[in-house]
Amino acid sequence: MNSAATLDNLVSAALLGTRGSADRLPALPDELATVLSPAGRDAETRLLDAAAAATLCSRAGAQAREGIARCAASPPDRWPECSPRAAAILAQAFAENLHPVLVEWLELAAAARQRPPHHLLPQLLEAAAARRALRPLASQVVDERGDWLMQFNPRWQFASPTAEQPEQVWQLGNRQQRAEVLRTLRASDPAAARDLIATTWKDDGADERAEWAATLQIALSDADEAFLESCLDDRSSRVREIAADLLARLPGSQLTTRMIERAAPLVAFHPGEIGKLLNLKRAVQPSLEVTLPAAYDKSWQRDGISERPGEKLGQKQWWLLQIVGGVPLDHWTNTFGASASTIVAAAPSDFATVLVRGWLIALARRPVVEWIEPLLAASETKSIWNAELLRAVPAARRAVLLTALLARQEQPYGQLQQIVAAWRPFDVALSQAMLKACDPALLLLTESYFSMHPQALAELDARLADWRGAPSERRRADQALNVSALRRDIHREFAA
Amino acid sequence: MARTFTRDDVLRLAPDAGSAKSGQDLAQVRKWGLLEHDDIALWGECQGSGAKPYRVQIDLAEPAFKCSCPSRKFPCKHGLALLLIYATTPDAPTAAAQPDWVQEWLASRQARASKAAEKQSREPAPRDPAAQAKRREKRIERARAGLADLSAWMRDLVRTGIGTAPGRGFEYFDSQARRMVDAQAPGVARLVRQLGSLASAGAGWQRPFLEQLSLVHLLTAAVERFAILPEAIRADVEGVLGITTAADELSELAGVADLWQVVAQEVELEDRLRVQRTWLYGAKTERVAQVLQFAHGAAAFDNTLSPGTEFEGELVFFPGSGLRAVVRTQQPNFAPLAALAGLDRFDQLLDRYSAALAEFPWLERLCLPLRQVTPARVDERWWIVDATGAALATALGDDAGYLLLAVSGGRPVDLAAEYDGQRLRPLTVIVDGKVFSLATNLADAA
Repeated sequence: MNSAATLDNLVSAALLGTRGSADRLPALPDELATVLSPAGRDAETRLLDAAAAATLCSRAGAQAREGIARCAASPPDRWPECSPRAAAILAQAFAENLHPVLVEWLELAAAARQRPPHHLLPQLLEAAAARRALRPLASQVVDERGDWLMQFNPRWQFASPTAEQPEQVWQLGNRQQRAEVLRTLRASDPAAARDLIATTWKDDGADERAEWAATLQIALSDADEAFLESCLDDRSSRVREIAADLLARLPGSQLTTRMIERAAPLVAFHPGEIGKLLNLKRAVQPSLEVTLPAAYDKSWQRDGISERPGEKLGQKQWWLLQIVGGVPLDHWTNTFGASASTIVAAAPSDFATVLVRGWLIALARRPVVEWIEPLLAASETKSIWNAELLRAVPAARRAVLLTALLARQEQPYGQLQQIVAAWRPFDVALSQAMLKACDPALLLLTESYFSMHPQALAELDARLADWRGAPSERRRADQALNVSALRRDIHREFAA
Repeated sequence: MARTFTRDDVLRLAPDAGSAKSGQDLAQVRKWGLLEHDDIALWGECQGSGAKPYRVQIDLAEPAFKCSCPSRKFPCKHGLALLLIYATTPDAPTAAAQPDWVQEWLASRQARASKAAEKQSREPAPRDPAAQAKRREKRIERARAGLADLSAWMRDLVRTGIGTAPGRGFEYFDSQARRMVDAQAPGVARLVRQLGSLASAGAGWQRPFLEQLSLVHLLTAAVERFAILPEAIRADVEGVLGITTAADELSELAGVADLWQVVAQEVELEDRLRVQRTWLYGAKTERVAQVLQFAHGAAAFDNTLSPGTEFEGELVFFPGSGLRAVVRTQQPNFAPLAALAGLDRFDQLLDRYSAALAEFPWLERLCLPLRQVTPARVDERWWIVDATGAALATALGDDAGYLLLAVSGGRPVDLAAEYDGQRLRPLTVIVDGKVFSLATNLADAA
């Protein structure tokens, strides 16, 4: 009997206690029995004596294990390691959760073809596992060592194509794994992804069907129309809504055609006339004539137009809003033969709000550059500008637009923050426009120090350094100055 | 050539997590009006909340800190920040001649050091060995009475069955531990408190609990027979009880000269006391040494011993066969480890451990440098494999495990690891001359 087994027997005896079983101590191996002197001692002492001896024997006699396989070593990296200062900044970005600095670091490292030191790879892979947007950059920068390391942690296996077939995961995986596979496949082979959805459509629950349908937004094309059209008859209202929304994003879809037909009698355009002095004719401004729909048509329901307003709004205005939102913006400019700004300006004052909101829905579905500025200028501050839409604004127009928005003095800073984040990184012109138009407090509130072009950071620093704000604002300013210093350092470290 | 530091070296000096954070925030060149250095010292001026900037200076040899700020943390955030700047952007401070205030401080340090050396070299106060022996005897006597009670308490627990231990609550163990403190046996108090933790450790608690209980029992048995024990074992028993050896007694013992390699360091919290454990390995004598430092609250540790460095010098081991030692003399030049001395195979490690355990049964852990061993992850657990293919399980958590794997790339690395008779606990890994700590540090944890 070895010492480990002896010890286990002693543990069993000790658990129950020696009371009443004093003479039934487990047998000891001879080697141990001879060094202990049981004579005259109580059972407790004898048990503890034996346990001490067995403990020491088992510790002293432990053996190494054979047959633990070493894994194949990582191949050598392709890129050189970044500078120690760059590595220190990366560590700080992790420690202080400076996400935009992390993104910038990865972009610059990828461009400079340098990699982080190996000891920071686990944190980098962990960050990429938590944030999908980091993955393409992270997979580039982690180099061979990172690719090698991923195999040891299931959470990190986002970059390597799954060893399993997508079909297998789709049939057997949990919802999260299935969503992951679907998104990946949709990006590379949209048709195959749609076919994959169809294989389990009948058996999937309403929540899952809604999620799969929403995934079609990735690489959406006319090829998806037939499937989405069939979704308009789905049992779940959520699925119907998503399908209608996606179909409205396809300019050539039957749903879009139906929307255009519905809108035709509702909105008419009267072009203006230029005044002619000699004929004594006065100029006429272009105008839109709006006719509210008379009654709710049952066929609208299927195309996602709801009968009852989801908010405090007249019922007929609510229908108008939804129909206008389903018409591609190009349609108006082409049919009316007028520019977007003319059309927006032509909206009659009593319907302006509803029309602008409808156009904003259409704009969110399919950004049309020409419409962005007039609508941004005409919209109420409450309207939601998503990042996708903001990124559709051409870089050359951003400075002008931002200045115009700031001049309105009514932007809640949250929305500005959104704009500043969506347009990250700023070019020089935009940075200078921002510096010119904003006081230090607003520069801080919008976290513009993450977005500014590196060449503009010196001026940002100068503005913040001289500024005397409240103590809480001073702390923010300190944070901004830290970030600014880190960003300039990474640009310097990765330059040349 | 002045000593160099890494960012981790500096953060390890922080008295607490808050100081580490503030130090990093302040480690921005722009926050410093003055940033200068020479080969001996580093100094700067940092604008604080007052009108006058704080004057911060660092003696790079130790490193030792001085700052004109009112903080009672030591080193303060300004000192940490200054050294952090030096560690991460060595070009930032400009080389310059020492200003008066730095010269004055260094001179006063020098004066203090020579005074202390003089005091040490002077004839030590005449010791009275007889009186000392009598004091010791008295302490053993007190401990013996306390441990007799402890023995009765343990036997009672075994009689009713240790299965009742988890249900008894921590106070059951804590009150017993307090009695051991009263009996002037703080070392035993710690072991008894550990019993309380082991009992509440959840699934699989039984065996470690009985192991620990039996070793405390062995201690009570040893104290009972103290008079007939050999001198070396008596010293060991005194050490485990927590009866410390006075500095003047240590000064009479022979030192062990060697090229001492600092292989690992960790800081643990033991009963509101921070304990810094530094492991050293003699490149020539192959002896293992453990240097302990204790600090209350935010007090600082002496930071001379930094993992991954080596120095020629002399250690004095505490009496007995334990590993504890203090540094007696050290050459001022700490150099990065040139080549890690140590073992190449696990059978050597197991032999060393068995031999050490045979001499000192209360050995809790032995830290040894291991050369060219490979980490592996099998069955969701972390293993270390030596060149012969023998493997030992580790106590690594995932954070440290992935870090070790990442820096190794699946190739053999040099490691310093504690072994406790069951599992390895890697504390330091060295790859291409770079040193990474795998130990949990208080500054990181908080």
